[in-house]
Amino acid sequence: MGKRVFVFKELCNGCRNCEMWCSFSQRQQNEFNSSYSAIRIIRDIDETFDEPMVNCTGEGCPLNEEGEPICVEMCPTGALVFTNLEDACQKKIELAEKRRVQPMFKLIAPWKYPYPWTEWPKEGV
Amino acid sequence: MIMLFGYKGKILRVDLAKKKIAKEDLPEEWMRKYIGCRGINDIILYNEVGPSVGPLSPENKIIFGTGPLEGTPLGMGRISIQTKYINKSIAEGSSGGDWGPELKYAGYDFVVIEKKSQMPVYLYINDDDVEIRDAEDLWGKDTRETNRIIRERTGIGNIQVASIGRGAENLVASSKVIFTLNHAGGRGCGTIMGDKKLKAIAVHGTGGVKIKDPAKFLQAYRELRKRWDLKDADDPLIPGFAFLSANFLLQFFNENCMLPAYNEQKGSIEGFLAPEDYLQKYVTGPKTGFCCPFPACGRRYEVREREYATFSGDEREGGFSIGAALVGVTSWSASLKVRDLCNKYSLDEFQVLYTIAWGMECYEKGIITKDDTEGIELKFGNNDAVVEMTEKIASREGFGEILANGSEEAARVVGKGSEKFLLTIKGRELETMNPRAVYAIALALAVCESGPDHTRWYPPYPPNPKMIPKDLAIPFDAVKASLPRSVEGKGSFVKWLYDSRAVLESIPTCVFATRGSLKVDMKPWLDAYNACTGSNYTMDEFIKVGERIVNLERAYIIREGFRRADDTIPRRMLEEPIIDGHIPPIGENLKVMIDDYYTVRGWDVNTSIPKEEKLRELDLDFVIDDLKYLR
Repeated sequence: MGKRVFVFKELCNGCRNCEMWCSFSQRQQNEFNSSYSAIRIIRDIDETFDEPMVNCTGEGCPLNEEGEPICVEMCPTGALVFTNLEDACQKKIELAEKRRVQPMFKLIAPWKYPYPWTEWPKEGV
Repeated sequence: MIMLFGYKGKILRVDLAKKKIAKEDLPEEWMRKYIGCRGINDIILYNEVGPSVGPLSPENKIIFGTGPLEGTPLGMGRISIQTKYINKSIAEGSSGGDWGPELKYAGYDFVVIEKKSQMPVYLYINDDDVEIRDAEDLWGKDTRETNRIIRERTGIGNIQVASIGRGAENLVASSKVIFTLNHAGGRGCGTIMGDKKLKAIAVHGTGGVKIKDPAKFLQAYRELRKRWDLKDADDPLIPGFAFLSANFLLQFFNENCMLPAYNEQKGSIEGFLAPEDYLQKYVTGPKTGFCCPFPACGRRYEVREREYATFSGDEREGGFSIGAALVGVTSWSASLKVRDLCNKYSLDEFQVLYTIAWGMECYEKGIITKDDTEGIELKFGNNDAVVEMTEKIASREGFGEILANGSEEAARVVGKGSEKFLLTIKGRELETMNPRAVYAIALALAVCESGPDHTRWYPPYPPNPKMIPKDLAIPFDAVKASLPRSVEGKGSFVKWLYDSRAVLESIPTCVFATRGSLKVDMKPWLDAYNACTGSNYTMDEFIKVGERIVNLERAYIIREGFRRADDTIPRRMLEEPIIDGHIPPIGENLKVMIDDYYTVRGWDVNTSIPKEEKLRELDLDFVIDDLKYLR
């Protein structure tokens, strides 16, 4: 099955990296301008949530060395994933499980940073 | 004209008295000499707000500044606000959020607010459409409501609003400007905004930011991203900061007696706020500012505890979590509540905290009594008293009226030796950094032009010398600089910190992104700057811009009457040890470090006035005449 961008909205931190980088890479405008972007981060009026709205088939989008489009590469939390439907479903379940046992995964996807903490680093302050 | 990329090239001037709006070109000379943001704010302030201008007179100005990288992901939405503060020094602060980029997209690099309005107004900017609108019904509303009402009224859902709340309206000292909902910045600028009766600035833009060399820009950004990567970061602290920001230091600080506990009398606190608790119970998800490269530099939280009506929001810097030790707060809910109130009323957490902590010490030592506080038991560890006092400061009720003017002013009113407990520098409260434990902090705090401001020298320790790339020439001794309690090598280290951070704040970018080897390696930032604007600065020229900015700021406060005697730290740090941590007072060491710093800077050791040859070297010839007759 073909790959496309899947959104895990509970992990979106609203940083808009995907929105800005998409606009930058999509057209040869050399410009950061969200009106060229295929992604918008939407918020309600009181900003109680952030969610990426993606209008993209991935066709013709340049992929980086790891085979990801730039929006996925620049997403810091792992809220965007470039994969097929089957894998996306599996990831969704994995995330729900991990969130229950390790509160850190409220903030980031296990596939982005797979190490649960036992202790905070204490050296070098 | 060779226009640099990245800029919009426009300054928006708003005269609140005549209700006139003017657009003017941004001089290219400024772009080259000061880059943008904090740097250009400085030159505007220096040229236009001289020593004859009173801080609360109509002639004072507020400048909102962006730089060439603003609006690109590397700008991280940093906006610098600057004005002349009530104590006549510079009030400058930066904030993240989406407001700065939006201003850039609307087509302006700078907004200069001039004169005073008779009635409350707000400024509406929608691309070319700029209006001063009536805000009488908004006056008195908190920043959340203001945000909501303006969004509804303009019909633009994602319009970005910078507003002030009750605290700034009541001219509480060090009030901030709140950008959108939870991004605060500009200690003291909110106070002046309140004085000018400017309730808010709402910005919406549809433009973009053009990059000169996109391939190189992307390459530089990827290099930075590699150093920030959580998996292969060379700095073991990156993951901690990336998920909990300053909160994660709480345990480490407590164990090593580095918390500012009980008005900085001690270094640790019983029942400190455990970051794990916070994560487990209150955090609901990540929330960061514009294009932050870290997953959870800020977090959404929700508090559903019986003491307070349910409230939620998002927090990032964790200033209050560490600051909670100051007043001995031991519950996350109270800590978050004060944070929430500060954002609503546009108060400065540090001002509120240090002032309440000062009040608490006075109360415990019998200098003030329950009669003075109108029945509030102002004791360390009394969570409710802290929350109540914050409300009272914002509305200047009861004892809040005295505390609202800042702790230094309050000590003048109260007297009876209460000034001994003050923790202020140049009339402004500290920022929960511990100067006794790390001497570089002591020096950096003392010589700061704007009073305590941690973004000007963060972080106050060099990376592990092993992390420093071998071919990197750094102008200080990394081994000496990293010794926490030695005076050696601190002058050149702190000078370098100030210069490099001045550049970072001017391009602009977030200084909290300088982690690991990036603490000393500026090359990726320089590459990104060159790729964005199309200029070809060398590293020396780049850092020189920072030195120029710092010298210009120093010249500004010299012209206002500040001298070496003002470059000091509170008496407590100089004379008293941290009892439980057995950390000795700083004493004479500070003097040695300041001598060293001035010498490295090329400033007069007795007065701190920059020497003529230094100013000439930095192309600041126009400053020489202003300083010529000052001693």
